[in-house]
Amino acid sequence: MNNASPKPWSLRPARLGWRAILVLGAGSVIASFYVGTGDVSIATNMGARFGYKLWWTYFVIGIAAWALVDMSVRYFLRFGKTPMSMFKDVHPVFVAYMFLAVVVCTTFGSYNQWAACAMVATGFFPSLPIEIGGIVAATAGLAFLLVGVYDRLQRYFVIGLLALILCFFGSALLAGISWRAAAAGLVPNAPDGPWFPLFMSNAGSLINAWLILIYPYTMIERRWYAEGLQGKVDILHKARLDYTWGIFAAGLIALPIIAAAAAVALPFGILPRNYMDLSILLEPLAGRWSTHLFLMGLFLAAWTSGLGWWLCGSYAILDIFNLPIRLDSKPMRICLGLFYVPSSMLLLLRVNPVYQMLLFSAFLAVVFPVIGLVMLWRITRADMGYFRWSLGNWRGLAIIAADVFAVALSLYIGWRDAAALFIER
Amino acid sequence: MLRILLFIALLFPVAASGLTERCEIDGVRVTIYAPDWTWQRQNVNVLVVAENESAAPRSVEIELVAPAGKEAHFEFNRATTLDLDVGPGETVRKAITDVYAKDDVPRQVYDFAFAIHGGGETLRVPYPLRTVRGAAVTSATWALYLPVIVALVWSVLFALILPRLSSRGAWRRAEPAVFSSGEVLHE
Repeated sequence: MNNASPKPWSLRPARLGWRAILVLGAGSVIASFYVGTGDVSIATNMGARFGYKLWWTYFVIGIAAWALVDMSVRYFLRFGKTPMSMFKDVHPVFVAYMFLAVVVCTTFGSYNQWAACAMVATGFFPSLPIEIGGIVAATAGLAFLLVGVYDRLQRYFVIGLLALILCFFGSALLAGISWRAAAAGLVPNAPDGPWFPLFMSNAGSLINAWLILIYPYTMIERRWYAEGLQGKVDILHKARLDYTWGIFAAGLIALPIIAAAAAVALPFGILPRNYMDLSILLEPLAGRWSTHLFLMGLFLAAWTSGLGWWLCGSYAILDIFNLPIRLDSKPMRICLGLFYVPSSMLLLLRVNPVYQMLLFSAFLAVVFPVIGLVMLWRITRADMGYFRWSLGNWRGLAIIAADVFAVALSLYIGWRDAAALFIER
Repeated sequence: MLRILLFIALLFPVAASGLTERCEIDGVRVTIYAPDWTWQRQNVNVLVVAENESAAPRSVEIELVAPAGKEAHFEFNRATTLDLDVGPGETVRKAITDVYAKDDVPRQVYDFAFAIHGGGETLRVPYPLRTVRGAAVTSATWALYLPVIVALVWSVLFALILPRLSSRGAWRRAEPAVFSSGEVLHE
């Protein structure tokens, strides 16, 4: 293979046409991460405080998230190496950093999803202790992953994503979506009031290392790799469509949640700090079906996101130890079991998942810039061949702009966030 | 997934909100929506909808009445009385918000009530509110750091178990990915 001959970003990928719809698989898996309690908590707070005015943040931050996923995919396609190799290439200290960050964030992130599942269950059955509801949700998730193979899992995630889109939109349509206000909310603006902390939490939720690293793992599971350069270009094209869908879905699903909060909480000055608050408030305005659809969407979002956290955390751990990236493997099952125990145990703390997710997302925004910098360092090296940075054509320029924007944004938010979390507190 | 959806669908007949009380006073239909349980250290929010079905404007007052002798178990951070002026054929929605359940008291069922005044009449709607155990940690710092500490301690187990399944020093070595078939990728 001679990667040096064609100029960077000069080859045209094969056209996909209608077949493009068939590649939207792993994008739904990564969307399931994005659309979890983080997305719901942040969108609810945005809607309750600022109406639709901050919807634009999902798409601006989404561009950065897209660029970061793209970096890890370019690296994988160039070298056939997994994302953790980037950190191994730089220095083992970054591998140790990633190892700790993966365990902490996966445990924390998944526990939060089980707590949200439990909250939905206790909404229906108040006498059910939240620990039991959470453990049942986590156990069902573990059983689902232990018996699954990747292809089947991906199919279920596509169905799950579509179902939760329908649930949230159904709920919001009953409450009423102001399409004009939503369209205005797509234009970047700074509303009156403390909106920046929500922006930071949203960045932590969307520009999130594990979500960015997972995509190459799904490519390994699907054997999306080619030896020849044209094949790599074609795969990159397909993959881009797929994760563009995943990231777009996160922004799309934010709309009905924002709309519901804007309709039922904003007029009363209520700041929902509990998922049940919003769902109960929906009932008088939009009817019981609205509440039930919202709760069903929330349960699906939290449950699939919990699975997603475990899945990605386990892949990353396997990657660190150079173990095969396979869902149906013994090391994978061991990792899943190891994540199950602490994420269920933490339910005993009973910290409100809305409140905790806002904090956790801010924490992620602090952890992430280190990872962004390592990725930037790695993908700007000359050995990236055809996929290197290049000023030779508009595609190369666009990639440089997106990469720089992504890392600069994560650094800026991380810096602001670090001050808020560790200095001003 | 289909089975899960079916399971959740079975929950649909169950009401998600606690108290849903409808009554009529002076030609105004008043509906109160309120949760019938709350975590300690959480706020309770109550929504009131007033629909004036008469041809003249009406005024209704709705008051949340705390159980006698147990007022100190809650913090009432905003007004607990709503004055609703409803024009003919109009619907007005207002909320009583930020009723904070303290945690330094035993968990129990509180006999709250709503007193609804209008047209010289008063209606009393009982509102039992149950408290359940809230978060084990209060400050934002501990809500963040405690799970992080637990996970950091737990990471020792990963560090002990995973190296046994891999080759020596694998965590420091960048290697090509392995497909599920066992085939190794080559550059």
